[in-house]
Amino acid sequence: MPIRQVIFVLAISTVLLLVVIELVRRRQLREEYAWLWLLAAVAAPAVVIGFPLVRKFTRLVGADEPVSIVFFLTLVFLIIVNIHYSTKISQLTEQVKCLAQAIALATPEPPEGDTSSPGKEAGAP
Amino acid sequence: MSERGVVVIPAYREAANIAQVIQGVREQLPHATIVVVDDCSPDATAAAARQAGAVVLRLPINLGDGAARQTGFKFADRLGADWVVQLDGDGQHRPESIPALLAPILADEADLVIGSRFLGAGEYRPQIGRRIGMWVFAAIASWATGHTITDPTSGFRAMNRRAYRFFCGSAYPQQYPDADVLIAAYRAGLRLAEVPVLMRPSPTGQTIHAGLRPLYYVYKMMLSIFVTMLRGDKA
Repeated sequence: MPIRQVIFVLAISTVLLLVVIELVRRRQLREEYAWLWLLAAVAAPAVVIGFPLVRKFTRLVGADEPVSIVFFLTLVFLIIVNIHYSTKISQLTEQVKCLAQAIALATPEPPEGDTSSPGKEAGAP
Repeated sequence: MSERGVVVIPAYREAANIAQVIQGVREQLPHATIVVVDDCSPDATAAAARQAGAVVLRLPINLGDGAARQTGFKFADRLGADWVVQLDGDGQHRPESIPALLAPILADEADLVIGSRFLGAGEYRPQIGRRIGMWVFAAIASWATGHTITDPTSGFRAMNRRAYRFFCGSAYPQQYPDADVLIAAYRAGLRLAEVPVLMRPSPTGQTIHAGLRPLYYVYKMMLSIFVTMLRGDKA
């Protein structure tokens, strides 16, 4: 692989790495979500430096171009990231639902003109 | 009739109808606690409900029909209620049918009773598309539970403590708790029954099923039923 390509990829990865670390430092990105992007920042130069391995892998899976394998694996990575986010969003939705219900349950509003605590009559025989 | 019960009425934008519904319920069950779960309505639903004599639980954000009902079940659980009746806040479900709905619960013949529009009483005639959908889901629910279920989308239901406590858990969906919860309840070991009830056409129109929502509903319900069959939730 030409040295200029290697330098280009290394430069992009370094910037990505620095941006992710800075976002974590500023608490705009939590550690639990940063690892995926740190992984990406490390994986890009690894692919460039280990390109002979990518060629071998290409032959192994029967693909024509090493580049298409790199693109394909990148796509798979992004799909996994998105599924991970969808599960997180589902979890957050459930948590928000429970919180909103807890707020409603903590402050029942009695019928107008009723000074007793709400629901007391349900215990009456 | 045992009055240690809670009537759960989920309501969204029902300021115009809610008082009448509460009065109708009060005539049938003079001593039960009536709780209106206001799903963050922008109108005066909560005030109208309190004025009519109901306890109001006000959700700070709009959660959807299922989550609003579930809030009512959780409230009943806190009170230790023996039974819960749920009906819609739009006046569609007629309170005169509550005694019939509650009878199998009080006789301990069923844990969950569904009020059906299609068992003879009344003359409810939905549009053709909706009718086909209802028929399909009724067929699936009947097949999956071994009971004849004619009206899985009915929001007019009665349940004992075992059933409503089961619905306080994660088996109860945030939206559209229809055929899937009936199947989940059956698989959890709850006894189901269906009784004929009277219903009016919804005065606010078809609030749930408009636009692309029927498609989403079919997708959601099919997936939900499928995964419910794969789960083993116990009551």
